[in-house]
Amino acid sequence: MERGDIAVHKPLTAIRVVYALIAVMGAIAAVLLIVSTPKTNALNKLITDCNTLEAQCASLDASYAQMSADIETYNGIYDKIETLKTQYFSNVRTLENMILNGESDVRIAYLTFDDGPFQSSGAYLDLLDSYGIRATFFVLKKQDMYDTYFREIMAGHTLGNHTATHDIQTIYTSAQSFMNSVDSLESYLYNTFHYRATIVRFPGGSSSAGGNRYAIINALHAQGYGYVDWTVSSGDGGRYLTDPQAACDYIMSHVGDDKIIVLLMHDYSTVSIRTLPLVIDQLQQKGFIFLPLFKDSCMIN
Amino acid sequence: MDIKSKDRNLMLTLVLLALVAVFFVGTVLKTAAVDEKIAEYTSKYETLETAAAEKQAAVDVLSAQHAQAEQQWKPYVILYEKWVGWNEEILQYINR
Repeated sequence: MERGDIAVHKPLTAIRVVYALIAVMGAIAAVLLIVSTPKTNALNKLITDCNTLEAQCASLDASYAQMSADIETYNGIYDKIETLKTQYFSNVRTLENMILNGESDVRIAYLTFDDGPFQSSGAYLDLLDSYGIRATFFVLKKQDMYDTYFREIMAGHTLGNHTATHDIQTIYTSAQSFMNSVDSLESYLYNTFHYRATIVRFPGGSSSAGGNRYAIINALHAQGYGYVDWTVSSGDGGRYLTDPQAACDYIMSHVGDDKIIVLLMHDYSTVSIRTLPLVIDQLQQKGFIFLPLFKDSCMIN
Repeated sequence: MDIKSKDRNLMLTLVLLALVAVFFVGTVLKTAAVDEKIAEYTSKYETLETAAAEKQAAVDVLSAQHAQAEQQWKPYVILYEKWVGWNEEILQYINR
């Protein structure tokens, strides 16, 4: 072997080592690449799942916040309604004063319905709803008529206290007897509906109280009540008007030129339910609007 | 094989070595990085999973309260909106 032969062999050996190194590194890298592919897939799935959970947490936070806000609203709703009603009726009193002073050509009709609720009251409520009219219901204590009381309150009608029983033989024996009956109904309305009826109508009218009238009036005022009779009676309590048109004519003849009226009806009457549309139409033509009564109205004593 | 061919082969081989070396190092580093990320996101997932379960439980409790309150009070919310409208009507009569 000559010297040149050794020089040729040395590079050949080094190259083989390099080739071997290349092969080993390439093999290892290829294995790692194969193994890392499922790992990369698993990582991508983890990232997606984390994003999904983050979105879910954000959605739950939003739901919780909304429900908390709703419950907060519900807890304060009674007070908000009472505040708004106070503002509303203050405005109505302003309008009444304007009418009485000749500063407005509006006329006000306070429709009132006594002795309910009855099964027939629903038809009256439907009729008033159809006209978008609110009225006043002087109710008695009838604990099996929950739905009707509730519907009257939710429709924005005023509930007035007509005593618990309308038992004229008993309630007018003394002021205390009368107030006991008023308090019984008041307790039922407040405990059941959180409703305070601040206006009273004497069963049969205040003149029915006879000698105890002024004592009863004083007792009512002492407890913060006002009372009201009526300016126009429909006559349906006497049940002698059976024709709706005749009943309407009778009512309108007693309205006259009054700018503010309180109309007495009974929501048990099968005549008044047919008379009422005629009366409403005629009163509207004469410029009347229909409102529920309130304690500070000029019509309340 | 002459000297120039041998040198060229050697150069090409060294270039190939360099490329494979880069590929090898890159693959090793990438694998390590993926493993680290997997550990990180696994921990994050467990934390989020716990938080989501707690929030869901809280929402479930409040949801029952909300349903009860809504049934009881929603008619009054509607009534309040009606009074807002009626007040605006009266103001129109006053201002006309």
